[in-house]
Amino acid sequence: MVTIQNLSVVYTLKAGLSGLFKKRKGRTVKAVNDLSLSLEKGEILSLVGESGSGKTTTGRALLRLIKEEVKGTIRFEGKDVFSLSKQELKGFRKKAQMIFQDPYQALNPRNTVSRIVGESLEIHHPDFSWEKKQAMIAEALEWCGLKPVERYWNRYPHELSGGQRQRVAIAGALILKPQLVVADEPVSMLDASVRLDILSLLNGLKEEIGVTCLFITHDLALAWLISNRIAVMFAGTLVELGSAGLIAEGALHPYSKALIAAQPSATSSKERKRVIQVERKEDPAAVVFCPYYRRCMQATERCGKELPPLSEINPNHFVRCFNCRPNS
Amino acid sequence: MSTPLLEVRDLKTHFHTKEGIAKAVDGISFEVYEGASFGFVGESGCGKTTAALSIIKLLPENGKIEGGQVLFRGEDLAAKSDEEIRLRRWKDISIIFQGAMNSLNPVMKISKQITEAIRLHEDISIPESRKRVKGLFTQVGLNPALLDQYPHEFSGGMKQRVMIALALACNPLLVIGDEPTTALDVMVQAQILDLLEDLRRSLHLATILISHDLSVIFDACERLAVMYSGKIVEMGNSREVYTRPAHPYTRKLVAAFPDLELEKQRKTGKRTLGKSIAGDPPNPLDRISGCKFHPRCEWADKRCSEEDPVSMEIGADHHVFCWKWDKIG
Amino acid sequence: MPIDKVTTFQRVKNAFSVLYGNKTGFAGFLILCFFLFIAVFGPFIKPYDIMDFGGAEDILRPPSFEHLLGTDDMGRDILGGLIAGSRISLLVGVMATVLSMFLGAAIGLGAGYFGGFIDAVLMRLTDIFLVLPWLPLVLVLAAILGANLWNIILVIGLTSWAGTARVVRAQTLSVKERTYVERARSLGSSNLRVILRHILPNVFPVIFANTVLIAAVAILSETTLSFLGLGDSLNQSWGMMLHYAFECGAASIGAYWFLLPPGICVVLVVLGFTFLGYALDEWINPQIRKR
Repeated sequence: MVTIQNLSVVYTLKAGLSGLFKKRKGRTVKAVNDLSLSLEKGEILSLVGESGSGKTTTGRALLRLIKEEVKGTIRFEGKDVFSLSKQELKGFRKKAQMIFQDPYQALNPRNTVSRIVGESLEIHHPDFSWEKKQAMIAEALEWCGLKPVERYWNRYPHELSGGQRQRVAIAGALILKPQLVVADEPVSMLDASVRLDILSLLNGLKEEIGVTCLFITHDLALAWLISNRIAVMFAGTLVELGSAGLIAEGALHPYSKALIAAQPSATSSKERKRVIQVERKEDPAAVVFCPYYRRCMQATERCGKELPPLSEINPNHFVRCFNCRPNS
Repeated sequence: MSTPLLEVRDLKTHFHTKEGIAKAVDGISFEVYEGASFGFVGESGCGKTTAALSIIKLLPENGKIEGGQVLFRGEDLAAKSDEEIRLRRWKDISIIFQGAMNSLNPVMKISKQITEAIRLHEDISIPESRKRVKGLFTQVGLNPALLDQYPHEFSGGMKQRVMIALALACNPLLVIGDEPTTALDVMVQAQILDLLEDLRRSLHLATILISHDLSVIFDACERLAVMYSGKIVEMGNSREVYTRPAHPYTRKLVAAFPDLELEKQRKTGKRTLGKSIAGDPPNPLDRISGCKFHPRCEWADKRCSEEDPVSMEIGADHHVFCWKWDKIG
Repeated sequence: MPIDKVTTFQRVKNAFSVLYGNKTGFAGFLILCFFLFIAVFGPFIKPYDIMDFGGAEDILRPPSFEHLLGTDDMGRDILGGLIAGSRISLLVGVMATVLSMFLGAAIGLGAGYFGGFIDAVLMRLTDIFLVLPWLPLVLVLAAILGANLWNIILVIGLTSWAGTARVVRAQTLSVKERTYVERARSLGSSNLRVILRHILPNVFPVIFANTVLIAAVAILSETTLSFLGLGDSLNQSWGMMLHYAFECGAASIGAYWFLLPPGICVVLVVLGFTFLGYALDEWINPQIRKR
């Protein structure tokens, strides 16, 4: 349904004073580096990585929400997202929605719940009758567990808890029954006891409405819990891709393994070392090299000179590493 | 068992707000032993931060310790005057505040900020304190050469190491860390937890970690207390509580952390999304009679709504505050 | 957390409680209410005719039972003049402020939201107006356009929008980056819709607070202009009274009843707006409020 091919996004940082005097252009940061990925219809694919891995940028690029220059193609139902006309873009926005990380910032504090949820109706279907709009808003609110609807209709965001705000945001995203939803860390700012409900809600999207979901998170375990497939990103590059169970239990890439080892564990000894890393400098002359080379425990000389390709090491299990062997 | 380094008895801290009195901490008792790691876990509003701040009496203007004792090496800190406590802070007990790494003065070199803090508590010269800071940097895994940099030149993990260095500056006996790893990536969080564990062992430091992340507390603390609405609902040895959670809230909370679930379910290969706890965390201003959790508890009965549960010892170093703990399936 | 219905009535009550909590602000509010009352109902209680010249023996009489604040150089009752003048001063102040607010808000919003070339052009324009010495500019404009009420309003409005524009632009830049604006765009919202629905309502508190302070400045400006003789002689404001007071040498005669009252009124009204501005600061930024 969604095909990302060779996506690259480069941020140019402002040059600052030194740029003024030395006539230097600002530093560039490759947020996303030649990423290729596809999303199947009806699946939940998790994009897992730390801050700076490029996962959020990828999600935003997919929905055309970034201002930076984008290279590569993103196809949604066959059409290139970046060459849509203004009219087509509006149609695209109807079908592809985003759920933001911070429910405290994502809702306009001066709008009531009903206005927030009904906003896409006003944008895309101003012709609908008032009754029809009210009915659709009520349906969306109920679907997201905000019942009885009358209790929430005229509320303002600051009168709601974090979990309720996120439900409002989800209701607003779902009201026009989109086909694609990009969820950017939707539960990371919520209390633990509320998270499960929101996750169930998102899971229900897949089950009941058949929405395809790109789930962005830094929490590998969370990705395991909710998604069909997991894609692990490091420094803008895709390093491992496979089904959720496979990655959580049998990840092969050194970074994925390090991520799993770094997770808090209630059963491991308190004396263990959670992170074992090296610090390595790459050859200044090297133009391409594995992005994880600097910290990798298993790196060899080849890793510092060439970029490993993403290869299918086992059926439906892709790893970008020279030193990974298929499971016997 | 030896006498605890810190013994808190029936601590009550209330906030006087325009809307009424908020009982942020409503009678908690716990012990922390020398060189041990203790954790407080609970959601926002449960009172864990207030409890920690009460130990060293660093409460906002409208907060007051209304009752109980905070016995540090036998002396009751709660009964001491502000001036007496001020002398104790940083030297005996230090604290790393939530989000402290973001409140470093951006226009002051890091070295200056730490040396200033040291010289506020001890009468030593600047070169002396600089030397100590260099030593602290090494201790927390930072390159001493970075001493004269500015905060914005440090990453999040590095800034948190600076905050730990600051907390250790006057060789305290107890360090309190309020959400020490919350804003950090998984890897950096793991490194910081590694560091705290190393320091605890090498310096025979007692630590109190506060977090909303149950998996972090289970991992990093030998003993813990689960807090809900100003009260402790379950307390004891981490492994014990993890294996045999007794309080309904603890059980539900354990299910809300995917890393804990992954650990448990990894063996079976199953994946099930548990159910959330119904309702919302209570407002500290609300008055709930009996057990504070009873409105959200599916096993609550009449007694739960009327009588506040007392501590019940259900194992070696395992206490629970629930009338129905043994009736729950 | 039990959710109680919060009605508009309660919202107004909340706003008032903030106002009441800030003693300075509340004082300012009371002062303004007082003058508003005087301006609206005063002339009915004490009618005043600018043409009501007294005889030669009525000129510059000190306060008495008949004329509570004495008479001016034309024999007219000063108290009546004050009351009538309140209407003019407040009217000019408020209308000039409204004009200034609209201009400043529109320019600030446009510059902040669109950025780039539009921002550069609008900001240079704002800088010009900020930098030009106000008094000479205002004098020149008033002299060219002529001294009547509407021209005064126009002149003051045209020369005081720049500060608001700056502040509004800054706030717009900040609001523009907020997540809910990005969300609106992700829903497919057009630029105009985003500005009107999302940016403006969240910039409005800043506009309003700034406006209250501009009102203080506007009233002072009008007083200054009138004092310098550029006021509308047919619609006598407090500034005009001061102008005449000086012209006829009231200071040297010792006719304090002519000089002091209009001056005190201006000061009080300006203070009223300024104090109210403090309370508005608290309303906008709930963190300043005392717990």
